[in-house]
Formats: sequence, structure tokens, C-alpha cells
Amino acid sequence: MYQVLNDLNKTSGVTGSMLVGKDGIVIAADLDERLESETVGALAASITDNIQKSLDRMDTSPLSQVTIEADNAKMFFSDAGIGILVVTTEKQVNIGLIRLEIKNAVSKLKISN
Amino acid sequence: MVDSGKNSRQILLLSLLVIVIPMTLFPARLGLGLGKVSLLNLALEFLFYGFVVYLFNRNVNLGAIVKFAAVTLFFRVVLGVVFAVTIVGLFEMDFQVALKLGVFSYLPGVIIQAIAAPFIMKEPLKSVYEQTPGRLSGFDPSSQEAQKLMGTTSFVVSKSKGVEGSIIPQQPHKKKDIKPETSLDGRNKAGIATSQDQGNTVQNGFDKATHYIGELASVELACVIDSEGLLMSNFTRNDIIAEDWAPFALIHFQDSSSLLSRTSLDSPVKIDFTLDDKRVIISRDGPLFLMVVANRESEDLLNIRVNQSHEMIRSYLNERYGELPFNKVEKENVSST
Repeated sequence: MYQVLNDLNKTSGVTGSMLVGKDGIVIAADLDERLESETVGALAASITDNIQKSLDRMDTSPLSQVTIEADNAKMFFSDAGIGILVVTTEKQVNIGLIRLEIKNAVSKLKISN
Repeated sequence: MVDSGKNSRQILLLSLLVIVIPMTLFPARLGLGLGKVSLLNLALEFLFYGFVVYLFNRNVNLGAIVKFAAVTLFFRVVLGVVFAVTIVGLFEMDFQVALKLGVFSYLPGVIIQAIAAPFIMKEPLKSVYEQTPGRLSGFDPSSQEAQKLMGTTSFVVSKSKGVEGSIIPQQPHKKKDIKPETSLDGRNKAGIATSQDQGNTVQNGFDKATHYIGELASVELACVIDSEGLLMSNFTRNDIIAEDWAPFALIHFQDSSSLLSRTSLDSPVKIDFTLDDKRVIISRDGPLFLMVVANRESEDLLNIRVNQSHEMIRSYLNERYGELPFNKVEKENVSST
């Protein structure tokens, strides 16, 4: 699991990644030292849960990925089966490449479990 | 100054009247001829005209009083000159003497003309003394300038962000564009799709921005939302209801902002959800949100269009409301905030 996160972090622009349970508890983390893994884990679980609840009320299909673009970074939250894969990147990144790497990591995580 | 044919005829008729009446009295003079020619008489007349206009319009400002009095005095002098010319014609009098008599000296004529002049000029000069601050009679809501000023202003007060203001511009009212009663998603009460959901109606910068995004076939909804989650413009395709989605943007931006503020990340500027079959992009620019719902397979061109639409909205706002951000405009216009 740490190997998957480590490989993901080698992608250009990626500053950290972590796997967090849907209840917000950290499963594995390899984040940038500026970010606290517990805080980001709780944040990821809260945001995805809020969005999913809203979408449920609108009878839409389940959420699979959320991208949040902040002033100085981007965050990707992806459903990885056992939890949420969180990837933090720099502001200017190749989103297509990051998404491809996330997809690859998610499939690896699903296989390993 | 009103310069219609009716006013001109009215002035001419009344002017003739105030010239003819003293003419009938001219030979007798009634023993009231003024002893000397003085410019003080004209100054007193000027004050009298100003007093008359103030008496009938208490809200009039000083500039308008002076303007009205000056124009009326000029008119009275012209009346006096015409009166003098008439005297010369009828009584073969020396012109200079007649001019002094007509303009300054002949009391019944001067008095009648001086008293009548402000009332003759009252109607034609109505626009002069009614265009004063605080009076709405000169405000034409259908004028282009008025359309720019009219709209709905709203502001939100929150503990974390203080006061955030927004201006919802009124849709330009064009008689040509009168359509059947429709809901915001472009459907009329009978449920029949109108041209709005087919992307044919472009009214303002917000509509242009949403329709520009809507040109992509994968887009099902593109809408501009204000800081209260209310729709400002929308483009819809298929059966998607814009009103259902609009508050979604605000809720998730607020949620994400409060959560991200606990980390070193700043407030979000764009949120992108990917569902099994849909993709939702919510981006913020100042107090406005742009939300796009598209098929999951939508190409990356969508993001470029979203950014370009933001540019369109920004330039439209600058063009219409100036360079100032909304909250600053609000603070300037509403002193209590």
C-alpha cells in the first residue's frame, strides 16, 4: 500500500498522497510535511460525504472523484474501494496525467485488497 | 427647455396679448410713466422671476432658479423690444425713445409684461426647474442610462467573511423579446420547451457565457449563480432542472472553504466532481459561481470554455459596473454598511 503511494508521489507535480477510510481515519499516508494527515483525512471524508449526500438527494449516480482547486494547490479525492485516495499536487500540473496515475493506483489498491 | 410647437404657439399668443394690452393704454399712460431708465429695474425683475419659480417649486435648486430667471428676463426684454417696434410703427415715434419706453419706462406695459413673463415661461421651462436632485420626475426608467442603474442589490453578512455584496442586474426589457411565461429553465407552464433551452436567446453577458459553454454537446447544464445560490443565468439541455442544481454550488464551496481553511491550503477556486455518468465543475470568480454539468466523457475543452466564460463574465461586469469589486460598490452606495 505504501509502495503504491510512493509510486504515485513520484509523478511530476504530486506533493503527497494518502489513503483514508470513509469515516476519516487514516489508513496510510505519505503527505507533504506542511499538511497534517489526520486533518486532511477528516477533510477528505467530510467533503466526499457531503457531496455524496447532496447527490443522493438529486438521484444521481455515485461519486467517483472530486478535484478541488485551491489558490496554491490541487487536491484529488478518489474512491479506492476500501477508502478514499487523496492526492495533493502543485497548482500547475498536468491533470490528465495525474488522473491516469490515480486510476492506476486505485486499480493497484483494489487488487492488493 | 421644452421646445415643442405647442409651447411656441402659446408663447407667441401670450406675448402678443401682453403687447397689445399696453398698446391700448399707451396714449393715456395713466399717469404712471417711470421718471428714469435704470438697470436696477432689470435686477429687481430678475429677483422677482426667481421668487416666482421658487414660490411654485420649493424643491428647486439655486442654479435652476438663476437659469429660469435669466431666461425669463431675456424674454421680457425681447417683449419690450417688440413692444417698442410696435410703438414706432403705430405712432411714428423715434426708435430710441420708443425702445426706452418699451423696455424700461412705460409702467403699465412693463408691469404687465413683467408679471406675465414668468407665467408664460413656466410651462416651456418646466424641464429647467424640475431637473433638480431628489426629484424623480425627470427619471425615465426606459432610458438606456436608467437600465444600467436598475437591478437588485443583495449582500450577505457572515461571521467568517464579513459583508459580501452582489448586484443582480435587471434583464434588459425589450418589447421585441416578449415571450410566453416561462420558468427559469426555459419551459413554459404547459411544459413545452421554449427557445431558451435550445440556446437561441442571448440577452446579456451571463447568458452569453452560459450559452458559450452550452455549445459543447456534452454539456447538460451551465449556469451562473450569485453569492446566495440564486440563478443569474442558465443554459439547460435535456430534462435537467437548473434550480435544483444551483444551490449545490454554494453549499459545496462553503463546505470546502471551511474545511480547507483548517489546512495550509487556501479557499477553493474550482471543484470538479466526477460521477459514474456525469461530471460537475463548479468554479468561482469573486462573488459569482459558474456551474457546469456535463457527460463524464466530456473533453478537456470544457475546462478551457469554463475559463473563457469566466473572462466573459468578468469583462461584462467591468463594462457594466466598472472596475470596482461588488462589495466595494455596495459599501459606496449603501453608507450604513
